[in-house]
Amino acid sequence: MKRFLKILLVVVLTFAALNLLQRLLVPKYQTGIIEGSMIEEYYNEAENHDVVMIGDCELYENISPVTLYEEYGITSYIRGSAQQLVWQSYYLLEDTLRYETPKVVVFNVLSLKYDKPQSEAYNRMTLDGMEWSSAKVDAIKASMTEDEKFVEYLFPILRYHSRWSELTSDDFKYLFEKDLVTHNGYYMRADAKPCMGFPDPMPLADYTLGENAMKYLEKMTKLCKEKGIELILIKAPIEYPHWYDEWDVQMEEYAKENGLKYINFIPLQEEIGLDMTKDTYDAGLHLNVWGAEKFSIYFGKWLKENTELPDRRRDEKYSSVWEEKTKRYEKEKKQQTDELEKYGKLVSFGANAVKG
Amino acid sequence: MKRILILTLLLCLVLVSCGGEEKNDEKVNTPDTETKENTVTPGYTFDFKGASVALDAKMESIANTLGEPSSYFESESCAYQGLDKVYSWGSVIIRTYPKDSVDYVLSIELKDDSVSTPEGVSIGDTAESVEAVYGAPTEKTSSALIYRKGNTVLTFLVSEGEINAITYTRNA
Repeated sequence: MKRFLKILLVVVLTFAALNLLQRLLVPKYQTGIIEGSMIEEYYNEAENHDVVMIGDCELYENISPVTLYEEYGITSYIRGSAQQLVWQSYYLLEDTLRYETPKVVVFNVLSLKYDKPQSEAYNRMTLDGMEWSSAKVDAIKASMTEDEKFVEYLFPILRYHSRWSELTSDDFKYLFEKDLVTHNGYYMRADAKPCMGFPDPMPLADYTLGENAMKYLEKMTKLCKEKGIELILIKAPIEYPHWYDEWDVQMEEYAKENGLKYINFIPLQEEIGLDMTKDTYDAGLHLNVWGAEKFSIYFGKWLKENTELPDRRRDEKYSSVWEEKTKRYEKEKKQQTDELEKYGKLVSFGANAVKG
Repeated sequence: MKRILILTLLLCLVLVSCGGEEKNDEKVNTPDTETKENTVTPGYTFDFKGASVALDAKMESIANTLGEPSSYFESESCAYQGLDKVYSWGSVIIRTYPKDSVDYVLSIELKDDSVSTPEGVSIGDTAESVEAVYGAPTEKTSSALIYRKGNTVLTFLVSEGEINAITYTRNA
């Protein structure tokens, strides 16, 4: 019996030590590249949302849920991540439905251009933050590139064990708890870098959106229908990477066939009020906070006119929560504008936070 | 108790050091974007201004041979995973992708008839002349003749029987 207890103690201590080591060695994504923290932040949410947006940077950098709430009382969350692929979006939707059933799900269609797994780095930023469920297992299986192994997702220490020589103060500071890096999934940037135009798109031999990608869009459509959720397809008002007219036609046809709403915001840039010499922080690839707020005001109005979303501003259950969110949002906006005034650039946000 | 702690520590060290293959980690706390060695399988190449341009080849030496491009565009990928670059020499556009801080050729696009493939096909030639030079295509559609070889997909886009674009892309 004593021998058994000793073995048990060794096993328990080993697992505890390995768990601690794993926590230490996995990337924290709290400074510089914060995109790897986005997915897990969702699980901190106290209240449900009427709108959940799932997709890539065209959502999490271009739409401000705080603006949607302030202007229209729409409660929303962006389950976004860098280069989020459509099968990841689908499984994130499945994952989200374990916690809540929103009235509307918004999906940005740009990722349909990818038909197969792309990159481990982006996979990790989306998948590592998901809580374990069958949705996460399926998301990993659908996303792995040739070199990746499932066991390394199950035990991330196997993937990151060589990071011990690269550990920074962040790895110790955020060992047990992380700071919020987004505002309901929105990644804020207040700096500006004007758009100077884009290269011509390369002609393609075949403009048909991939079979695998479309399969997951169909699964998403079916799941939303089963749950009584309205699925809205959008293409954010961003011109690069290029969104081919042929892809747009396929989306319009798909939406029509499935009774969905699809709106391509690229031709509406002017109507939205976007000035791409001022409203983007990276020369036109993503909007800055000023552009995101303009787009959110436009999109929120469109949502109010085209769906039946309630105004939650007078609902006490939500108003106190969103008041706090708004305060934090305005505080960070001020921090960023102060830095821009003082240094002419952001020093505590984005890549500069790492470069110093 | 001391023995238990030592045993635990040893077990952890063995498990951590033996677990998984060693992979190159990227600079800023993310895993590497690709882990395989960059194997350049022979495919179609394009000769231009004294440089033999192959897909997946390092761009730096090619750019040095080709000289200053007439236009250049770069875009930061999401989450700072590197720069996607587009070099234009008017008739020829080369796009690159980053890997471990090195740029590699992603695609080559021929824009007009002032340049031709090393096998002698230019924009404006007929679809028949392409097949006479390259033989039967790997795939043929109403608007394209597609040839796959090694790491390359050589595509001739056809409109009204004439070639209107030539691209070299990676054979995924």
